[in-house]
Amino acid sequence: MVADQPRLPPGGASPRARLRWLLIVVSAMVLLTAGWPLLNAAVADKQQLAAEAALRVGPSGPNSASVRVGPGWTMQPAESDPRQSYLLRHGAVTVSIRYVMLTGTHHTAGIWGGLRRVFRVSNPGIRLGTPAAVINGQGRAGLSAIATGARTAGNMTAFVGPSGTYAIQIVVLAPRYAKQAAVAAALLLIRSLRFPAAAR
Amino acid sequence: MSFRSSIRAVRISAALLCIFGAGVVITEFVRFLLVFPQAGALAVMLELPLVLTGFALLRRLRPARAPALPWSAAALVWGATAAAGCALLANQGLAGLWAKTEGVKFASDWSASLTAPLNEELLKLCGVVMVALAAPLAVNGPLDGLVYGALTGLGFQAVENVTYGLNAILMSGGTSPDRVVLNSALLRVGTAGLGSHWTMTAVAGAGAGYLILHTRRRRLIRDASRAGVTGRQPAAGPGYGLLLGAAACLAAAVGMHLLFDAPALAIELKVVVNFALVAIFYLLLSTAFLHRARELLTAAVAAGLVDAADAATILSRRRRRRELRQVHLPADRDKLRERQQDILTELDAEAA
Repeated sequence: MVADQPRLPPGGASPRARLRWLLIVVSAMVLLTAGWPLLNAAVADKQQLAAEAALRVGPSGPNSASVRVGPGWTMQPAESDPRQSYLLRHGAVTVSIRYVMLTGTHHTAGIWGGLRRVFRVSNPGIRLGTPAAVINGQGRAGLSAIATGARTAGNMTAFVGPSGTYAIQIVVLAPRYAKQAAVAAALLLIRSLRFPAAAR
Repeated sequence: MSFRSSIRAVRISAALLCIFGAGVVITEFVRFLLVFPQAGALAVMLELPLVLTGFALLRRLRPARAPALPWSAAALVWGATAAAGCALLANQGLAGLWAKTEGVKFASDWSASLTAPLNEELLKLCGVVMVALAAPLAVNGPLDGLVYGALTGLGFQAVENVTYGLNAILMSGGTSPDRVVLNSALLRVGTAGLGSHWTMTAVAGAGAGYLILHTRRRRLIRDASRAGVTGRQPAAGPGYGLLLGAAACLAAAVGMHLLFDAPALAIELKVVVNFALVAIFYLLLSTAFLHRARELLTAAVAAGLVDAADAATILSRRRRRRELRQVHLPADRDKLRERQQDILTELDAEAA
């Protein structure tokens, strides 16, 4: 704009510089997008749990629950968060224990429809049967239904916590050949499920 | 490779990365939309006012004239697709590593604040760099970078808000999905919206602007020395301070993000800090830009290159419009508009 002053060239780079920068950007994108997942996949997602280890799930004491596992159980740390959920394995059996924060106060029957839909999101292709009443080790009532897929079998169980403002959802899945192991795992976890608030 | 084909290579790469990112986001959340179609649609709809208002307001941040509409939209789309999709994969990977190496308790407290700032700020920043590479005149300095960065962050923020709304359905066991999505949007837009991604990427984007300014100065010095020019050299030198500025901006953006995701701090405090930082930074940059632009205009008027009348109106959108309205003949109006845009283009490049 002013004739005798050295002028900055416009923002564009030369073709070579542009391609060099493009390479830098694409490399950064690939490094982050593929690098972390590859590194993550290289580290074993398996933490051995001690026999009779108690796992507490939920944000705080009264708003939480705990389960006790038997020998031979492992936890998948990358998919576990003590505030929200655990993903456990025992042989071919996979167990998901999820803390569910409810909006308002509910009974188990009132939240079953919602849990069933959430189950469909996480487990496409697996159908849930009609729920039946179950009782945990503290004598608290919940609901459980058989889950059936083309190659998978298991069940989903839910208990609403004593305050009625949260629930624990336990999903047990295994290949069809390990159906009995899945049933045994579900029974173990249901029996060991404790609500600290109910114990007081 | 020619100038044109290098631009085409950038644009095609950017489009492919956006398609990839969109594909990742859709794959990750399509089940929610199928099982909870109403709540899913609500989650998307609730972000539209944020996107439309934010897009219009952020483009207004640029003094004198708004950044080009297609490139503003491109920045927004990059944030919503390429950055958001790649961040989903990168965050899952790094968060998994934290849990495996440091334990689930540590990961529960710190994984978000040690994962998202690094991955997301870099992925969003790539959007500003891509705009600069794809449109040579779009990003001339830190102020342009700030605006394009804010737009990229806005796109990212909107998609992240939708994903938070959908995840909230899962975390609430599918009970009252519409209410859960509404609550999530109110929290994410109403409470956290003013200090979220757009502020962080605005600061990082300004850093990209400093980097571009540095490369322009280096080119100027190199071209001058090649041509054997011994006269006046650019007063500021190659601008290594600009490189430092670029690094400081990226570090600040990462720091702002870390603060935003840190546990045990009130969200209101985080929002105030981030908003105040970007507001102060913007005011400093825009004031400096306008100061330089006025100096350039004064010199141009003195040299007889620009009319005094044009110089008086050129930096104000309203005055330019008023001047255009006063010209009745369409051909004259077009000519005046063209002159205004030519002066603004020069100012954008030189006052950056």
